[in-house]
Amino acid sequence: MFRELPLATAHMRMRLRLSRLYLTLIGHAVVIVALAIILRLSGEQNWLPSCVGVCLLVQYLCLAVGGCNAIGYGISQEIKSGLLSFHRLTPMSPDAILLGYIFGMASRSYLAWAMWAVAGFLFWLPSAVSPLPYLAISGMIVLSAFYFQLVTALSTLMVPARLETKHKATSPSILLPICFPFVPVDTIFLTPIPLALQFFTPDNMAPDLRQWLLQVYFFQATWPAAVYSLFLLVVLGTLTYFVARYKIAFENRPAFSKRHALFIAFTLFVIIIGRTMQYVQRPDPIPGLFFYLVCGFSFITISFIFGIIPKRLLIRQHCVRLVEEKCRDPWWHDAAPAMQATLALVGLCIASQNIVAGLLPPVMQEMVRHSLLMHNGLLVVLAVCLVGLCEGCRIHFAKDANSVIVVVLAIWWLFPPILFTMDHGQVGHCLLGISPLAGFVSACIPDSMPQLVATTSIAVTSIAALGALFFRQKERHSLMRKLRENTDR
Amino acid sequence: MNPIIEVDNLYVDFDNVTAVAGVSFSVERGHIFGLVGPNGAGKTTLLRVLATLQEPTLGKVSITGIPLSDHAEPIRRKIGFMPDFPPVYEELKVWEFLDLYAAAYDVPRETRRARCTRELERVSLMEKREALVGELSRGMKQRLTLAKTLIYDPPILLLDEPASGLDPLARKQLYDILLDLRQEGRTVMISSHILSEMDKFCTAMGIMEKGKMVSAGKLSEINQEQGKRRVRVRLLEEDGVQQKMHKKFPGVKSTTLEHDRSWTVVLSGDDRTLAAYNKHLVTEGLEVCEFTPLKVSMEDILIQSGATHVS
Repeated sequence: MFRELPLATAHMRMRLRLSRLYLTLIGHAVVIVALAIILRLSGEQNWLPSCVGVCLLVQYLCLAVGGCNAIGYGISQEIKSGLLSFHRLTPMSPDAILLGYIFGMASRSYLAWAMWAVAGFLFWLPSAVSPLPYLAISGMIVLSAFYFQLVTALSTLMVPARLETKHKATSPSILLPICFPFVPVDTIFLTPIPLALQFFTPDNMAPDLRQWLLQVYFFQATWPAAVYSLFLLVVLGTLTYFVARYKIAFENRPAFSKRHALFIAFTLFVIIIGRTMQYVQRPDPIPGLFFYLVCGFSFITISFIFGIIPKRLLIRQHCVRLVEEKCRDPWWHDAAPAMQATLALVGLCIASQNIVAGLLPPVMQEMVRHSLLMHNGLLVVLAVCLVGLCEGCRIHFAKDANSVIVVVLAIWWLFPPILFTMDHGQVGHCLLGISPLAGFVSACIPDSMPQLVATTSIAVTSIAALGALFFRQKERHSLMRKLRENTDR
Repeated sequence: MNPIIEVDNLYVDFDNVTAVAGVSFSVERGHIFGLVGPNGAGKTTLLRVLATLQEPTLGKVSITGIPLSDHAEPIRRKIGFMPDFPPVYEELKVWEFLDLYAAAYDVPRETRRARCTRELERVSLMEKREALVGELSRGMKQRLTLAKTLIYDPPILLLDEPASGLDPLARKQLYDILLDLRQEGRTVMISSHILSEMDKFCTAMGIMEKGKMVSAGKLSEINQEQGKRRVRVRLLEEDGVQQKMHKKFPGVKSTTLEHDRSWTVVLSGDDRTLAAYNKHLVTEGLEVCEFTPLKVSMEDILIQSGATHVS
């Protein structure tokens, strides 16, 4: 993949010059020694295990907080100064650039981590217990911190740090590693932080291990929490890595390629379904889970609304091409993919049917439910045929990430309420919870009728889509007129 | 014709602004192409498109015959791009900065040191090898960036205002380097405001205004298209000669007496017109002691092109 990391070498040369480093090294060494002395003098019986705990905490702070800050600031400066553009011109692969930034910019944090890791190991040795658990936790800390550093790199590439203090720019993404360990215990399973980010002492190993083996339900399977955390780390970390890598390679394109968009949507869908199933099956659900669901769904809602609005540049590109090639201007065109309009129309039809069905007496509702299903199914088939017809007539949809994301998210929004008509029981409720707006409404109004929620979500989706299309269509017509006038002149 | 850069109907849009509108031109191998235009004409955007840093809205660009839209990667290895304010790593030493980009461009480890030394000698920065980049003056940083641009021997150079902010001596050193590069057969595209200095080494030019290319091509071809030639004439007598210089020769557009008492005559036509005019002067009884056709200056072309906002 890469033979060497020139950027990592360069950043390490800048940051690890001995003349600037020896003060840092001495400082950390002094603090470690002072820690040991203070805890020993405090009279605490288990002062050595306490030292181990402090060393683990500082390792996390150095890598996750210090490292993220260095990366956020460093990448932001590289973008502002234009150095990243220089690097994009070189044959360096996006992997070499990304990993060069992470390992190079956070090199001082990794050095500090190494010092505290060695110190913690030395404090552990007298306990005569196998150091494997300590090494495992240190490894998980590095893995978790690397994940947060990737997230920081990605967020800075997409939105450079705007927070500037007098001396340094601070990336808001350093809040992530700070906040996550302090969330409620139940919902910590949604994060890549290992559950045992407590003070892991040799004496308490047994109960701590038992806690680590706490069962987590995921699609009816029971997993140990540690495995679940690792799974999240690997899955989310891989996703984040590939997206950051893509963003480094293509400055002016959306962050997600088609493959990545589908992969991300599918993975998030799977994870959230699993967590929702667990929530549904617990006898005493903790409200914190809904908080996460609401936050997540709100984010998806806002992304969807922005995603369906075609960018102005795309409209202009399309219009210029039409004028240059003297093409007939069809109603369906690249900048406002026909699929969006189709889905909006289908959604309106389904919503109107559900509203009508909801007004019927309960006995009749049961009778019409199956025919409603058939109608909804037919509408979906119609939508697919319409899309196929447009494709067949060479009305090309924008083959870019925005459109794919829109389609995936539209399906995510609309289909669960449609599937809800199949089952009003527990599974149906769960499906309703998956739909972003439905979940949001349910969280705000817990006793709302599921039917009403389903209808509301479809109607709002459709109205938002049509509204966006209307405004962009108006803009497109105006631009086409101006361009044609210029050409005729 | 052996164009190494070909641009056809290029558009570049930024939201509500069209930075480049329908630009078409070509640059032949081994030429130094001067790109002139006022601020906001679209020169930097055009260079960034050629350097594959900016995606065009519309149009075709090919470099060494490779279309830009399909194959950015192989093109990047053939291009050296130097922006107007080149960013540098202030806390790296000069040799470390060059070593970074030598490694980035896959210069073999065994030859890296020699290559860095060669480029430092070319830009006269050997004595600053161990200095931090942040300690260098503005002119030295420009030269260092030029060295970094040349470290992997790209056949095409795109330089955006390389002389801006440099004192006259530093500019002269830079232009000497460019002339050496031309001798080596490299193709250079350079944008600048300083027409009089670009005159000394450019063999082709393009004039941009409000995103459009007003005129582009080899200097001699542009001038021939406009059908004008300039000649310096020195006569033994000085008084009452102007009328004779114009008389019965309608091809004379203007005659100007210079400070050194020579005449600059602008003629419409080609080399035959020049020869005919020389004969005409002798026929009129004027004693000609110098008759030298003058090289077309970029300023002349600029004025004749009718570009209204170019400085």
